[in-house]
Amino acid sequence: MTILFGTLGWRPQSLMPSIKSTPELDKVVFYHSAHEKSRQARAKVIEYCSTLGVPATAYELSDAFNLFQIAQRIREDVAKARKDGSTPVRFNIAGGTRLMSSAALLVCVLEGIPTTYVHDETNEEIQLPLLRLNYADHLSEKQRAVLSYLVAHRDHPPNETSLAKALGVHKSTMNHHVKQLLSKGMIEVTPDPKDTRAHLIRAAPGAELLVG
Amino acid sequence: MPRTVLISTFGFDEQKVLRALRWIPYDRLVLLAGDKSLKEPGFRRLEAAENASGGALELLTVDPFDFRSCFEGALGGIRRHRKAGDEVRMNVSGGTKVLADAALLAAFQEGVEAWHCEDRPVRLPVLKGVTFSDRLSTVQRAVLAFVDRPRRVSAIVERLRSEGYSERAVQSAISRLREAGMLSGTLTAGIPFVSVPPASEWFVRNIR
Repeated sequence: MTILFGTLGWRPQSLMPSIKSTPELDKVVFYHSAHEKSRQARAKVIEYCSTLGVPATAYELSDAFNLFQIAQRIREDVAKARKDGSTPVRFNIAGGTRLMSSAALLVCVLEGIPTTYVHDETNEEIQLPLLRLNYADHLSEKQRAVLSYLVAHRDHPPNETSLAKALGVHKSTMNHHVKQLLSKGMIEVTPDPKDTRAHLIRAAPGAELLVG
Repeated sequence: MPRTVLISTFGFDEQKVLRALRWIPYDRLVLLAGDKSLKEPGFRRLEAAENASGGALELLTVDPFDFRSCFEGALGGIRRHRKAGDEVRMNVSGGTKVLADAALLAAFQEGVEAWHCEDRPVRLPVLKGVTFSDRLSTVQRAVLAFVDRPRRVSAIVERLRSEGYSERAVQSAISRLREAGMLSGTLTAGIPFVSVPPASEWFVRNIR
């Protein structure tokens, strides 16, 4: 039994082809904005699912332009839906705002979810054969620990010395990890306004998605 | 000295690209756009602004409603500039949603920095230098390289065994590639064959 996720904009036709083509469809979960036309599209999709006897859950996003918030939300919902990882899911990313669609694509890449697109004019469904990019595989255990710490302390970014102390490693070792993470674009280093000799280290935007 | 190349998707509204130009440092601007966009006043204004700053605009034209065309256009641009030693960044704020998503996928595929610049700049969490191709094992790559047309599974095993891979490793690679939708299987006269599904061909071609 497969759960179909989707982003919905003003056109129910962007989601319908995937509802039709998903084998053993168990449930449809989709996201839409608070725009009136989007709500009208939601009603049509729910009515269609009801006709087919397929349960459908629609989530109205409070901010359809906040990419990271949407991505976090979708990722949590996908994790819940997958339960022990055995429930197959697929995702239609054709509808919604550009940022909703990109957020969904981001989650699909990070989670390895089969993704589909629907052509605007022909309504043809296109499969994107994605490979999962498990970024955790490309970070050492210590680098992941550094990144997790920085994500948890986003409001109070540490300098390199306090980061080394907090994680119980030598300053020079921490300097190595910081350089590695910086080269991968996962952290940002900025001058400390309170101490001109020191630098503050912050997790890059969206790093939550990589460590969570 | 390596240049920083900003590849930006573009539709009709030059403001979306101009916002990115204000926030993302670059030496050379490459626009990824459909033919029609390049005949619009927005493009002329953008071109004039870029010329005024002494920069040269490079154009990559694609069909902005065709995911494959957009993906391959973006991928080609990234690879060409990387080969020339440039540092590449991608801005996916302009153009159709298809164009933006395809360009974003290409950025993931190649591990290049990607940005959304709407009312504020948002850097997407792409791990620089990590590509989809890295996810393939050597035996999976060998299988994909050999399956350039429908092949008997036994022929794949035989061929790859001669290259030093175990039968178990080859079977496992075929199975993983099927799960990922990069291979599909059929039975012809009781003999198992695998091939690259037509819908995946464009993608597989780019990661072989």
